[in-house]
Amino acid sequence: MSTVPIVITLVASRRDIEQEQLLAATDGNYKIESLDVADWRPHYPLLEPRFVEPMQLVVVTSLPHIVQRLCDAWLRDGARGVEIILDAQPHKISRLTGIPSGYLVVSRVGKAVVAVRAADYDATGLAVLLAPYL
Amino acid sequence: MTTSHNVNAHMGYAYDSLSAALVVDAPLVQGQTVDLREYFRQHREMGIEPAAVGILFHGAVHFWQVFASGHIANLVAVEWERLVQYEKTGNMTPPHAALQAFYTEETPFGAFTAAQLQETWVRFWETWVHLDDIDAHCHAMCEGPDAVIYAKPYLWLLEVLDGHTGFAAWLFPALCFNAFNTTQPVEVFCRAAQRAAQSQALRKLTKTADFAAVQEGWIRHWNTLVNESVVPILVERGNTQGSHGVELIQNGPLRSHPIYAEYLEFVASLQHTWRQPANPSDEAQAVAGELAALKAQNSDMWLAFAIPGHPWCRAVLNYFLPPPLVHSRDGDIASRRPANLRLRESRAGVARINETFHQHVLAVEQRVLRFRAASRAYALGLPLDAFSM
Repeated sequence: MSTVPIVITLVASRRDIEQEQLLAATDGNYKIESLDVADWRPHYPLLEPRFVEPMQLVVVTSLPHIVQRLCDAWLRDGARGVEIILDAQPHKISRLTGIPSGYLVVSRVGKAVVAVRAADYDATGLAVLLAPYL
Repeated sequence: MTTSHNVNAHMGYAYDSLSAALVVDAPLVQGQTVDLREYFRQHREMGIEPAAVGILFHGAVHFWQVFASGHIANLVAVEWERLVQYEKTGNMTPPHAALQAFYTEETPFGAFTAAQLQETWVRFWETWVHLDDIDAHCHAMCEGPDAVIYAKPYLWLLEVLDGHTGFAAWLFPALCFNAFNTTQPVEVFCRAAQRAAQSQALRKLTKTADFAAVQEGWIRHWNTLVNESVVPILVERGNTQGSHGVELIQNGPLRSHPIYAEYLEFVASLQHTWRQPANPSDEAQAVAGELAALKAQNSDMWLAFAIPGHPWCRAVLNYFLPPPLVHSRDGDIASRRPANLRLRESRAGVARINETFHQHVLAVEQRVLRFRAASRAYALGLPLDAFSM
């Protein structure tokens, strides 16, 4: 698996972003470039999810690390799934786009959207799946 | 299987108008199973307000708005209709244009959306429960921790009223309540606020008013506040009679909603008791004093929905229309279903009669969860069953 450094934007609630910050403090392979409030609105009308303070973290990391975080945390979250948005530069990994829990979506405007059930993939399988995109 | 309250497990608070379920990520019942009406009564008697009650009240106001506001009930109705159509046909359609406009459309009258105005309206009452002092309340509305989300329309109103915090606190509920009974709430809110700012009658009133007694002012001057602000705008628009949400629930797609349709019984009970405040049923004795006091000041029952943060109104609404279900950190609290309905079910030989709304709401939440998964798949161009629930 390639360990070439890649830059991504991670979008999540403040509470979840704080977990990533804690991790970055002890993991030299996970370097925070910037932290901002994210422009975000809930995807489902009539649902008011208050106290989701949307934040975005630009980090320098690597594919193995992303896969590890997906397996250890982001896809284990019982509340929501993950969308990797390839149109954004850097690519965006968002936990706030209304993807149902347990699913991973890779999306690009004008291209077929990939949606997989996380339970069907182990770390190796996820790395193979994501390598062409990240 | 993931349940919809797990969907919101990390959110601290969530209110879902489509399922009518409320999530409060805080301890509420501390191991006791109580009816929600009883929960409100106990806290009222104890005279304490646990920190979570403000959040609970925020959700309750959202719930009551569906019955009071034609505009909000219509939004729930069009989304419910889309859910029902999906279940019937297996086909998904895009969200109704009214929903899109509600969340995204900013009018030339004020740089905020109807959704922002609604949230500010709810926040106004949630804040009032804890801070019934004008200046502290205004500070919380404009500079509190949630101000980024909730302050914009209130700041706009303060600017129109030259920073008069007392006048703003008086006027805001009257503007919102009436604006959300029209098809263009932001336009009506803004134009009515500008009209109020120019009103000689209101200017005179504000010079002599005791703004330390805002709550009394809402009731005593309600008709003047409305007549000098909203009514002229409604007349200009040719629409003097707005519609309440109840009318839409009775006559539209929400007639098939398992929660809202049953709550029509509770609204009917409130209407009946309102007509006879001096002779409430045995059950309603608990709020007889509040009902009588309100009725003595204003004959319009909808005033209770218009100022739900007023202690009398709050007691009446908590009693007659407690939200159907709250998922709290230490368990669910449900409200009892209308006794009339349970009796009818019993006479009709229904084998298993649910005493509370618990199972009803859980069932609706599952339907909403499947619908939203399909709706999200549809938006991404995926097969509707891409996210099987």
